[in-house]
Formats: sequence, C-alpha cells, structure tokens
Amino acid sequence: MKHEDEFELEAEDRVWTDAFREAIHAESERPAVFWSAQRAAIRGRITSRGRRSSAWMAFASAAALLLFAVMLLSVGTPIATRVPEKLQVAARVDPDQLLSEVQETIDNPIPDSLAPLDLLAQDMDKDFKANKRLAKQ
Amino acid sequence: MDATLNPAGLAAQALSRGLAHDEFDDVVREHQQRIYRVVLSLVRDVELAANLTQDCFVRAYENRASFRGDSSVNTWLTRIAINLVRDNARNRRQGFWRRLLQRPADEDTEQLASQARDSRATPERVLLAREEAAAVWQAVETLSPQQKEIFILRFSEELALEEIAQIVGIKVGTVKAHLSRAVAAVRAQVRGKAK
Repeated sequence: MKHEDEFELEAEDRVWTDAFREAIHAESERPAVFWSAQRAAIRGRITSRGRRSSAWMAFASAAALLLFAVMLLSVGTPIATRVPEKLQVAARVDPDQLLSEVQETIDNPIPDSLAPLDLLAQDMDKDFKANKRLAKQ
Repeated sequence: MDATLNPAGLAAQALSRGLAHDEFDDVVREHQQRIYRVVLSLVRDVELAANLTQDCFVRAYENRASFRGDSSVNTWLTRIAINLVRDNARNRRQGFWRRLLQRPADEDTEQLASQARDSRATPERVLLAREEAAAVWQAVETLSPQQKEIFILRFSEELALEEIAQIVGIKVGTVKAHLSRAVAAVRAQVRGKAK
C-alpha cells in the first residue's frame, strides 16, 4: 500500500483489500481493440460536437445579421419620411392670424422697436414748425 | 519545455494551454483504463461504464479550459467521472427495471472473483482470494454511495486521502472518518463470512 502513513490497516485486512483490488483490476481488463474503439468513439463525439457547434454559430450569426437588417429597415423608414419639428410647429399656426400679422407689419412703416424714437422725432418736428411760425409773425 | 517532466506532467501542461485533438488523444490513451475501472467498479455495468467513460473524456475536452493544473490530470478526470456516475444514479428512472433484469449479485461477485488472478498463487490461494473478493464485494455494496466511492478510490486506485478529498469534494478528515467506518463494516462482514 502506497500511503500507509495516512491510514493504517491491520495486517489481516490487507489480505482482503489486496484480493478486492485484484478482482477490480481483473474485471476491468479489456483487449486492446476495446480501448482503441473507445478512443475512436470519443474522437468522433468530440468532432461531431465541434461540427454541431460550428453550425450553431453560423446559424446564430445569420440570425443576428437578419435581425440587425430588420431593425435597420424598421427604424430607417420613418427617419426618411419624418417632417422636421420646426415645420410641424409652423404648420400648427393659424393661416388667418399669420396673414393679419403680415398685413399689420406692412401697414405700420415704423417697427415696434423704433416707436419711442418716432415719438421723439414727431415732438421735435412740432417744436421746429411752431418756432418757424413765430419767427414769421 | 522542462525535460524532467514525466508524461503525466506533459499531459497537464498540454491541457492547461489548451489541446489539439491529437494531444487530447494521448490524454485519453493514458487515463482511459483507470477511468473505466473506477466507473465500472462504481456502476457494475459494463456497457454503462463504457458510455460514462466516453462521456467523461468528452466533458473533459469541452471543459479543458477550466483545467488550471492545481490538481493532477488524474484527479481532475476522476472527479468528472465520479460526478457523471452520481448524475447517472440520480437520473436513472429505469432503476427498478434494471434491478429486475440484472443477474443476482452473488452470480456477479462469483464471476468477478473468478477473474482475479495471481500467476504465482497456488490453487488454495486463488480459491481463498476468490472467496475474499466475493465477500468484500458483497460488503461494499452495502456501503453508502460516498463510502463506496472513497473505499474504491482508496483500495482499488490506491489514492492518497488528500487526492480522494479533492475528487469527492470533502475534507481530508471526513474522508478518513468515512474510510474508517467503511473498513470496519467490510471487515466485520468479511470476518463474519470467514467464521
């Protein structure tokens, strides 16, 4: 026994443990052809599994590619036909209101931002005309 | 490469760096008889043992990347084999029919004992060895599955307690306790038969 220091057996126990070991070893003895057939079977199973996994990988890649293409198609179409947001906002403005605003802008020669300056100019013009009238008199 | 490495060491190196088919074939060649012997002694079914031995090497090949070399190839493969035997026992649905159709245990043990050979033995010794082997087999069949695993790994494969602990997945102290109980049980039955 190799490891007697680890587990002690009584001397008479070695008789039956040896007999047991010999029986197991004898039972598992097989001719060389059995072992080579086993190796061939193992090789065959490993190879066929490899082929199966390659086929599975190819199928998975193709499926992923197809899925990607479908996603591109489904997402791409609305982008091409989508109306820009600014145009959508413009489309929501009432055309009559827009027309009246345009008309008002045309009618009013002074922009709203210059209205105070216009008032000042009118006052100055009035003063100037009044002074001129007084001078004539 | 280290020139002092033995074939087992080379196999371990080859496994840990990932194997080509031819290299794995060498690993199978080196370990197949021992794995078959362990599996056969646990399942006691020639055909099932051959299938589980194949399963063991196929699984080892698939998981070869997980082999880190912290245990020997022998330990690693035996652990896979033991797990397969356990899975098989757990999943076996047709156990009842198998037992029903199986030959009686006595017939099996008698056949096993008759295969035990010792070229130097006298006819008396051969007869004694047969009787002892048959008695031991009968006793081993009464052990719990884990005790049976430990008993076989120790007395058929002559593995160290540390290695058995790694294979079975328990502590060395527990292995020793199981082994003591198993030996006591088998001893009692073998001595009982002898009287």
